[in-house]
Amino acid sequence: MTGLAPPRRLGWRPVVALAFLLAFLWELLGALSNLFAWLGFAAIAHSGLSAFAWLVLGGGVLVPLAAYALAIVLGRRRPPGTLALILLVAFAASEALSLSLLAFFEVGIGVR
Amino acid sequence: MTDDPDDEALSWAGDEPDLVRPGRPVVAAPVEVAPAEPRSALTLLLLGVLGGVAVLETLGWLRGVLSVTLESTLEAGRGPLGTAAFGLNVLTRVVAVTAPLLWFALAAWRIRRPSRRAAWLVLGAVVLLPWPALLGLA
Repeated sequence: MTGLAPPRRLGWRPVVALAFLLAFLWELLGALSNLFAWLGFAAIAHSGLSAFAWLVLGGGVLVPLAAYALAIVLGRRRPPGTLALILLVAFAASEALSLSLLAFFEVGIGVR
Repeated sequence: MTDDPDDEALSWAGDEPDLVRPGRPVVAAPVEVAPAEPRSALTLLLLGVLGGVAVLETLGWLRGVLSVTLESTLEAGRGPLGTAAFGLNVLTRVVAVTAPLLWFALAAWRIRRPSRRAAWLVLGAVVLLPWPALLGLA
């Protein structure tokens, strides 16, 4: 048996990871629809998005992807309950960061 | 793959690698009560300060998501799908408000090593600054 890696019991971990993936995808969908909506507005105005807008709106797309990947890496060897906790905190932090980016965007375009 | 769970990016209290080792009989090991981790005054002070920061940030997030500017980005859609989407978006805002406290609780409760715990707590305090409130969104 030497040299063989011990089999890993998956259990509920894929279910937990998939359930949270749906939540992160929902957030990603919101960020993408935001980006495309502003691209549409810019096209109507025969203009393009500024570098600041790309930074903030693009950041909103990247945040959920990065948060989910980081949570999966950190929780990959943990029991399902701990993995769920890590994913929950990652999702909450990702939502908060997205709202921060939205606030920067609204300040930047003078919505206040 | 390492056998030492402390070589992971985080070391978690109560979690052991979830592995099945074939051919190795399970022997009931004598129960050993781990000695309580001594917490220095500095550790307690740090936990207290960063716990207070987490509470303040949560209040800041509450103020931020209740601002007219951010509230106006939530719109109730038409029909059952629109209502469901609106409900999900409200739920995600609620989750965002709880982010500082959730981060603090997870790091303070589950990370074993004091230096790593402190690092994750400080990271959470920085990452989760309530910018919508700090930027003064009305």
